[in-house]
Amino acid sequence: MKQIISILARHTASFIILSILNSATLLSQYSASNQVVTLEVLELNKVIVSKQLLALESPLYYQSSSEGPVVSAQTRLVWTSNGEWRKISVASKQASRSCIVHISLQEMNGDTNTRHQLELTDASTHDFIQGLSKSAGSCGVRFSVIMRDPDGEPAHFHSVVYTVTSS
Amino acid sequence: MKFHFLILVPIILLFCAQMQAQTVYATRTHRVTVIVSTITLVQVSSGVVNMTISGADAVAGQDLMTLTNQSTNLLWGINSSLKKITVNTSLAAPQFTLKLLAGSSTQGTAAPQVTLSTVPADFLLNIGRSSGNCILQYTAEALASQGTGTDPHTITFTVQNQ
Repeated sequence: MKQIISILARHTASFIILSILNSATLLSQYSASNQVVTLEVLELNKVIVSKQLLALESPLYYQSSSEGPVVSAQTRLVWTSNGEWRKISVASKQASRSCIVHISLQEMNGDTNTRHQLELTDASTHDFIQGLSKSAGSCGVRFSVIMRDPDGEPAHFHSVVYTVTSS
Repeated sequence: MKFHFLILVPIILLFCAQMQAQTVYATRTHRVTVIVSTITLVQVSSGVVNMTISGADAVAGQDLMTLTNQSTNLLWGINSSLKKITVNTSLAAPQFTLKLLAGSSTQGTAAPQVTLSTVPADFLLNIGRSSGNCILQYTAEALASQGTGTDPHTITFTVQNQ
């Protein structure tokens, strides 16, 4: 009888120890894992023109001595800005005094305040499109040239620069 | 007859010697019980992921800017059947959209791309009794109209019954 009780006691003790170990194992397990993901969106401003090279050729260039509109060409200006109160300015490097370049806006997509026409007579920077705020948009840009000196240089190269800046 | 005797004597001697070597004086036994508990492990290869949308991720004229990150993995070991992994974020009102897809999973079935929210969504299905890994493919989406900002997510992957 004593032997039976001893065997039972030993088995019970083993069972208890195993149960405790099993519970501890279950508690030490984890069935979930965490990962910290930080998403940061910086301010970005993008502006491009659809045509990198615009040629304005005038058949009247060598014939007329009178001042007047000669020819025009069009490109498309496209932008995206997630900043607030931004504007696009424009400047012409290498502006020539023998001609006046007019820029006019057409087919504006996007909510902005704009100057619809301006002259590029020198290298100074002009506000072109104002009130860009967290938006993407586009517009047509039409160039027209008025010749001042038909007997001057036969060709003028303008490097027109569009820049997104703060208003 | 003499020849047979010469063969039998060494065999008998060898047999006796082996018997002597195998003499058992006492025995003891013990019982070894191997218990395999329910194991449910899930782990990420890195606890931190940083994503930054900058000018390089934007296209002029497009409102939507996207960025993907698949630099980390999810690893698991599960020895019970009919399990799935769900995913949720701690961020209740994110400014931007963050999506997640299980890529190149070695086991189970990847759920369709999940837009992360505080409600757990299925991420990986049918992964019972397996160990494996998958690529965590995050896709961040921001609109220009949403401006700038930072969303700090704590993403939780949980093993659940399917």
